[in-house]
Amino acid sequence: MKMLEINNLQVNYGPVIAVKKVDFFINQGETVVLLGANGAGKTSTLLSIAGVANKLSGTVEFEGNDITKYSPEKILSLGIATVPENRDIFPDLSVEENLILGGYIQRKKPKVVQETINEVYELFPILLKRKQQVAGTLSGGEQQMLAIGRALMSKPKILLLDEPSLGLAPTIVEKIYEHIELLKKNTNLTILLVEQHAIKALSISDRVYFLRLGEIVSSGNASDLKEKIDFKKIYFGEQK
Amino acid sequence: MILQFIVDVLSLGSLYALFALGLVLVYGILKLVNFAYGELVLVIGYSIFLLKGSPFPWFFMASIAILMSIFISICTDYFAFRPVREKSVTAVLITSFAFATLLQNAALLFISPKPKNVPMPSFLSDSVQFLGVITPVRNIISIFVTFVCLIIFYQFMKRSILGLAMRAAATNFNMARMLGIPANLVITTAFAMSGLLAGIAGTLWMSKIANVFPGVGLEPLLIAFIATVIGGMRSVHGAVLGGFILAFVDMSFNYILPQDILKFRDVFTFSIVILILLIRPEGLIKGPATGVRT
Repeated sequence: MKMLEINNLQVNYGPVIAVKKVDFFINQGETVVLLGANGAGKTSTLLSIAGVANKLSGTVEFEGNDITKYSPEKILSLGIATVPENRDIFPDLSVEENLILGGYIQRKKPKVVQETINEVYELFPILLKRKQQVAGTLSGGEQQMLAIGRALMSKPKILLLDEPSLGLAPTIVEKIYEHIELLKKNTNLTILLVEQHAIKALSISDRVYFLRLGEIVSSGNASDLKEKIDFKKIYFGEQK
Repeated sequence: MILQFIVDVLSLGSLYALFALGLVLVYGILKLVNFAYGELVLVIGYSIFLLKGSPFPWFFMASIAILMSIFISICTDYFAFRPVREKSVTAVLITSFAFATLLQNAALLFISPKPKNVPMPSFLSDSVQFLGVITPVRNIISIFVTFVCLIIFYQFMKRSILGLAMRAAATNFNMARMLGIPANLVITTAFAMSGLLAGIAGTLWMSKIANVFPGVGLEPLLIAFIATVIGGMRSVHGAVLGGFILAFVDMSFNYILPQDILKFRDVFTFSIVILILLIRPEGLIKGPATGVRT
């Protein structure tokens, strides 16, 4: 069953067109990755699904409903949670306060919020240790875990995960991906992943789309493609 | 003498701090200065003036005036900010000025260009004497009320989910929305709280100057703006600190300048402000750090 479907998406920032023509879909329970170099339009695609980037044209459908014109808060309430590229945790709030805000839409049910916080602490034990600490003092890896944990607090159906490896040491990237895999196994969560780190991302994905200069240039099953892809072409363009 | 000075600075500073806090609340979230902010003092003044003949006790009139201030503040959002908020910063700048001018001219046209007396309970002007300090009752009340307001304000921002949501929105508005925090709720709450703080400060201000005229809002706006610039536009602590510093500077000049130069006090005050900004262009408190440590 198609959960999320993007048709003919075009995204602009003023006169600059960041995404030219993007079509793809994600089935329930799948992990799909958008791969591409810097400036390929991956983040813009993701942010426009989340409702914060300006869509010039195209449609976004979620569980059969057209959500193209929905506000970010409405989109979240449908079950689409975002972990943005630079994590965007709230640096002057404590770890626990960040998580509480992640569960904002559950605020009328304090018991549910507390249970979900405990689940997040179970997945990321380091956050429990740091729960009173101001989030801005966490390390990069811990901040990434907090951003993922915060997104999980809304009990999403699909997680939009933007470059979880960005700016992290290789051992930390390894750890973050272990956690994502664990999360997939435990919850059967649908994930849309955006990455530059192709090898790592392919290892946890079912399907993959390649973006170049704002367009999808190819797609396929992650397991088939892992060895065959011409990475050079994707990242550096046609070789003359 | 020193104690007298401290009481004077605290009583003036408490007013300045409340004014500044109200302004920075909206700025923090929208990154836009509400130039119609001073007009809330105008609303307070004329509300009490218009209720003068009524049989209600003064405290009731003051409460109605504060409710009016909250109402007009929310109107500022609906009429001046919301329609153009997403279009351009310049547009909001102009609409907020326009809204201010509209209120001023309404006062000019429907009431009077002349200052009108605002009734105040007489006990506010009585002097009290303690430890060699002589000061009007209203100054003591200002300090006390501000102290209570600040405690409630900080508790609200720290303990309530709406307060947390407002702090989050002030740091990163889009991220807050991506967590399901409704933009309009946060903004309306900010304007309402801004109206409440300006209302309380405006009532205390009125008890000091005791009359109201169409241009009455300019000075409080200027005070709030300068205090937030000194303290740091991105921080609520900065606004409060800036208010007290501005009062300290003002009051110091009141004490040391000779009588015939005193009317030029603002020149000296602004020189100090410029000096502070040369050393700390971002204000004294920088607000939430956004740097990432890896």
